[in-house]
Amino acid sequence: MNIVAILIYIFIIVLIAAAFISVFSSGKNIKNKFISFNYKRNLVVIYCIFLIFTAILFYFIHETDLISIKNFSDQIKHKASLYNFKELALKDQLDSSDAFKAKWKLIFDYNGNTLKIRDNSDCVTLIGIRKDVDDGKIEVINYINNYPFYGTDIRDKIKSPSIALIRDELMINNEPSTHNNDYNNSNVTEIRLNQFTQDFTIKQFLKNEPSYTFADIMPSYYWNIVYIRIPKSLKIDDPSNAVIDMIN
Amino acid sequence: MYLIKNSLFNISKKQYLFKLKADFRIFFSLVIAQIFAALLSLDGMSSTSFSNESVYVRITYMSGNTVIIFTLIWAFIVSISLLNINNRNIDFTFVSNRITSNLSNIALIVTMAVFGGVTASLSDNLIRVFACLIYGSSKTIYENFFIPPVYILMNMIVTALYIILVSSIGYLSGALVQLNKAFAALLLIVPFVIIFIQLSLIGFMSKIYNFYFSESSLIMFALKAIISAAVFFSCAILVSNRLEVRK
Repeated sequence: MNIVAILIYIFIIVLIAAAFISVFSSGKNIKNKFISFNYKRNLVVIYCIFLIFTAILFYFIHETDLISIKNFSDQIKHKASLYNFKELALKDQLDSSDAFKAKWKLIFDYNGNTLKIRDNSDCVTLIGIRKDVDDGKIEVINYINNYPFYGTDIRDKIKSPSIALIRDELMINNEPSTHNNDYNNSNVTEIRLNQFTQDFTIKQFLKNEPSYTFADIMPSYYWNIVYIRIPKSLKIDDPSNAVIDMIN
Repeated sequence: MYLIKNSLFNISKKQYLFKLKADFRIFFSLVIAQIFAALLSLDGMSSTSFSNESVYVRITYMSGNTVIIFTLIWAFIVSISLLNINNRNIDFTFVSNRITSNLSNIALIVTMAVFGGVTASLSDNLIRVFACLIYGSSKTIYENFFIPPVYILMNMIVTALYIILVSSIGYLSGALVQLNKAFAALLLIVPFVIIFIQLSLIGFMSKIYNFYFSESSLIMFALKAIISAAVFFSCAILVSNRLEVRK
């Protein structure tokens, strides 16, 4: 519905009310028996005092108590990026870094020459690395960003995929969900954030003011990574790197 | 022959001060409207959400727009009622004519606009403080939260100008309704007609909308609002001059 339509509907309601007032209130002096003039005056005065009080109180709110999209993005975006993850992985510094947190680690014994990887999950990024040795072990580690989400710690709530090695195929599936409606699931963390927008009376004069969209607020850099360390000579059956991103 | 020579300004001023005191209830009704609108605003104007298997994020957008819109509706209704029989009879408490009556009404509308503009603008702070108290400051996004004092001042001025503009339309509507009650029915019918034939009028409505709401220069907006309001008030004065002296 466009703004013109909304304005029209508002005006219909207003005009109905206004017409009733104009036509039917004429001639008779209507006295309000419930609220006296003094009460009305006192309420108006109290409201004005209250507005002034909150206007002063407003500037006592400390900006560090609020959550900042810009600071959250700028400070964490690089640290939590996939680029940084790969850099740390190549330097074998993932465990010493505070940027990512390992949730679990699985080790599979595997002596085959080729490994197929099938990713049936919908929220996992697969990153692979070849180890320096042929130790016959495939290590699978689940990493997530080590940051609270706008002050709410959701790190333990992020669901891990289930991993299974069946013959020469590594299967990655979503963790089974107990409910059809995920946000009704008690495991789902609900976060409510309030964002203020400028009033239309100001906004029309502030064309160049930065505006923040949902994409700015939702961190696309929140990664749920399955990091797979494979033996040096093991071949991955994924010629186009469509399933797994091998970093060496 | 008079002992005291009254000027147009003096009579208008007396009428204005008298009406200001007598019609104090209009400020009370504004306070009620603004409190109601502020409570509605605390639930948010709109929201958007995102969910995956782990997180359900809901972002509620809040602003003082509801308070401003309620204030404009209040201004429109009050302006219409300023020319009803009750209020017109008050004018005969003093030696007056139509011009002094209209001037005092316009002065009252300007006072309403200033009061409404200041309170609507300050209610922005009220909503923000209460949102922090109710939902917690750690759930409130910093960006756009703090309003620089110059924006508050700008908000007061622009809201007051919008109130004057809407009130002038309401005042003209009130004058037309008092001239002939059939105009009340016409005022009711016009919006329905606009909806039914909006395909042909939508361009026209958009032009009117853009004329005021898309103006990015404060000075130009102020000129547009004041000149438009002056035209509507002038029309209302012309119409009210055709009314009977007293029924």
